[in-house]
Amino acid sequence: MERTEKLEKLIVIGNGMAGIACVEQVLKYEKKFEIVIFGDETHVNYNRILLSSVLAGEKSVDDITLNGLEWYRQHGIQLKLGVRITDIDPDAKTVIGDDGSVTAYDKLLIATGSSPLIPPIEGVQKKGVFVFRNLDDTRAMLERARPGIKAVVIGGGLLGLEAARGLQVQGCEVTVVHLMETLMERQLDTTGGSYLKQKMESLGVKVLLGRSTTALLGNGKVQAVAFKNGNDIKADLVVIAAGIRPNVELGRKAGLAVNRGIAVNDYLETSRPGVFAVGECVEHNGVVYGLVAPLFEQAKVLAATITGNKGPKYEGSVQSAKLKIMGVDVFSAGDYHGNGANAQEVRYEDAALGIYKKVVLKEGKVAGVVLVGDTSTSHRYMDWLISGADVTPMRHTLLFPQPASDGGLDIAAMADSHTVCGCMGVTKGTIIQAIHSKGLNTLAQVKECTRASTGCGSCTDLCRDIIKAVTPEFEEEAKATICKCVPFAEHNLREILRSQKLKSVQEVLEIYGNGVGCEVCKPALSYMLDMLWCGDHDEDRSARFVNDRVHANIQNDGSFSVVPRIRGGVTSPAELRRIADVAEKYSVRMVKITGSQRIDLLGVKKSDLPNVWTDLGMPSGQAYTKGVRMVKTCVGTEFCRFGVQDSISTGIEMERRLENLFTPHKLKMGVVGCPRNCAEATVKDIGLVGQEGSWQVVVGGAAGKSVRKADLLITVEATEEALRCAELFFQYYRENANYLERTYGFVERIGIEKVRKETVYASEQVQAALLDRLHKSKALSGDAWLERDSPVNPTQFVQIQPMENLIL
Amino acid sequence: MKTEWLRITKCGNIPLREGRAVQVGGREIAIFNLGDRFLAVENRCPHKGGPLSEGIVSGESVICPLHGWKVGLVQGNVQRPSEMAACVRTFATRVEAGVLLLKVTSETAADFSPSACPGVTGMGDDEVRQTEGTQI
Repeated sequence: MERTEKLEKLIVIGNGMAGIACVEQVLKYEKKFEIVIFGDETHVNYNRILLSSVLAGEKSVDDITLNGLEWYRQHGIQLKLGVRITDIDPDAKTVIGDDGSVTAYDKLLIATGSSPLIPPIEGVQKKGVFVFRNLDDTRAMLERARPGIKAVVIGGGLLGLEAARGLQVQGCEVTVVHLMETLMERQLDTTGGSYLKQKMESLGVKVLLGRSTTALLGNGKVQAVAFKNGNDIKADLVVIAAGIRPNVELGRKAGLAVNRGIAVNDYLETSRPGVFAVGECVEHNGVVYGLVAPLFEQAKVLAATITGNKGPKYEGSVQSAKLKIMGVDVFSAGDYHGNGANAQEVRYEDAALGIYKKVVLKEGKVAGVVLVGDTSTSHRYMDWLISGADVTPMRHTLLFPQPASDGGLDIAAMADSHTVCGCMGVTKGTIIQAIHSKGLNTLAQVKECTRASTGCGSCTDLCRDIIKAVTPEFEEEAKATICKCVPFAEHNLREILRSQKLKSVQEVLEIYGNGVGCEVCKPALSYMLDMLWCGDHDEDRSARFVNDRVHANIQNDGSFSVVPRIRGGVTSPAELRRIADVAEKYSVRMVKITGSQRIDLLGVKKSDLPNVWTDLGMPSGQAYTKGVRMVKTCVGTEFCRFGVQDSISTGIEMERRLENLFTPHKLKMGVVGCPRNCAEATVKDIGLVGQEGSWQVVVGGAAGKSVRKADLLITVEATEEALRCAELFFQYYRENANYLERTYGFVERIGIEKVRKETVYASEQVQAALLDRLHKSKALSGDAWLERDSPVNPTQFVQIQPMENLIL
Repeated sequence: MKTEWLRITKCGNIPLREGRAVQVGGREIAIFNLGDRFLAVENRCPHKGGPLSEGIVSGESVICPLHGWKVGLVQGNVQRPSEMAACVRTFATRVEAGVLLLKVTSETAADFSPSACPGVTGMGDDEVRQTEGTQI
């Protein structure tokens, strides 16, 4: 391009969502600018709306980055981070930064956003008091939040509630204090507010309404919150989320017309030529917008104005709000109060399900809507609200749309002009065109190409459905979540279960998932609960795979296999006799020596299992479960000419210490008495390799689907110390591996250096805590086969005999 | 052809969100307790004959314990793998005084031929298809 031509200089004050949205729109026009963006935060542009997801541990900082440095570079944009513009000189057409810089502009865009409103409360400067506005606030809160501490959120609006939930997920005991009598009163009527309150309380967040906070007490560091009516409450952490106020100081100092926000006309022009403003800092027609969708509408109009294509007008936005808390669905838009003589309300409530829907109609048109508990139809009402369509013919089904028989049909019925992403103003037609013309297959590609679903994220499912419906090569992105039912990464989920003291699979599914669950997440959740609560939880057999319901391994004909525990592979003539007797008595189809020094009885009927176990008189070998399988041993010093360590007794002791425990995947061990490695300890999940005067503890070996030589964890002299190190790794794996992740994958993912640092080289306290948790679990575990005498339900093993049968 | 409601077992014998098998005539039937109702299907996965009664329940479906086929309990349709048109028979259930009843015909109980799928290979036994489960 003709780079020699001098470009007009566009300066943007504010590197937030509004400023960047506008720059993105400007870049679409032919007219080119030399663009300089000033941002007082030190991060590249990120999605501020998703900060609550960062606080809740659902997203990382990287996840919410909107434009990486590469984007600025690509478009030749100069980015000045950490520089705050302190003054504008509209006569000289310059801006002055707090670094002393003076920069000239031809066009100036003010996108300074807003700041948290701090109510007149005494003691807000105390340590432990936060606002919730930017990434630094979020990080500071995360640093402070600890399980068990008391957090108080002042403000029961959208942001306050999201902060509350985030802190709660981090393990804090959270109380929300609200000045008004209704939560989110700017978006909800009183009924909707009370449904929301119930929902928050059911999640364990305390809610105090009608409380005016007067002071934050404490000596330097906040310790309590005081109210006008007395009744102080304790607080280790306080978040003030009492609203926002537009950042208008710059505009005021520059002599622009300023009311509550910087005044702009329908073209987003301020009172000075060449100076524009967009986003939360502006006031249009007396309205200041604090939500994301209007910003994007403004950005589009402004881009046209700035690039000399003045014409499109901004005529105000229909305000809508969606609460982004997992498991708490709240949506509100338009005039939801239904005031005025011509307003008619259509309502639906189900207190037990926590569902409340209200549509306000005026002259046959949707004027407002409130949805609590089920917001799946929000886009439908938003459409009507924006289009102003007459919905009189649909009044009978206003709140109960005909359910689409499948997602595809619903998509097909949707008009191309339908706005899928309200934040970015992306229609279905735009998405489909992008998919076809660019051959997109994944959600990530669609996001990058169309920007759809990069705002609040509430249209993500809809976008995915569209891609699925349109492209045959749809690829589900690999997410580190267990499955669709519970959309959390496993490490987050473990933390949630722990901090929320959740103790049943169904409870987890209902609060954090789809309430239903599947064969993937149910066993995973069962494992996590067992590992966390060491048996002190509601063990739900329906969430377990059949093997763990009947403690035997299901075979291809529906029969089961039985493997008794033979510790270290050492048995006795008496045991062998009993095994032989059992095999004959129950017509066991095959008796097989396994690869792990055990005996497998194959083809046992489910109803025979309890009797087989009784007759065997041996404990369960756990050959059917994701748990401790066995310790394979060589004969070591007891018989072997070359043996230098007692592998037999060490192996048996190791098996005793760890047997009956569940692990993320099956766990096999080996102990060898010399480096000849006859029992293949170096390809086991945990192996002890004896050498003259010491043991090598090795971990992460495999000789199955994958073959991997184990990594050396540590070399120690004493046998007891070797066992202790094995235990440390064992518990570390239990607590940190993802479900169905074998040790070889786990060790590779974490890295052996880190594993060492956090187990055998960890501080004494950390080691003691690991072992303490392991021993607690062990103490509460037991031989599963004892259920032969006390089945968990009357038909656990028994075949139901019908009370009456057909006479054929 | 004889149609009968057979008294099978006390409801409490089928734990919540689990299935149990019962032999009726020449056929094994899997009965599932969904909490608000019971659903019954033939206890043979159309794939390799796996015992569906031993599967994990996911909403109104069960996942066969052998190879993970997902079978809808209301219609008996295979839901995964999705290209499969196979089906299992379904049976109506009803609860009376804490006892679960199954609706069976002498024919369906004795018949071992593969079941027909709705809208796929021509309709099979219409009556069997009307299952909607039973409110407890």
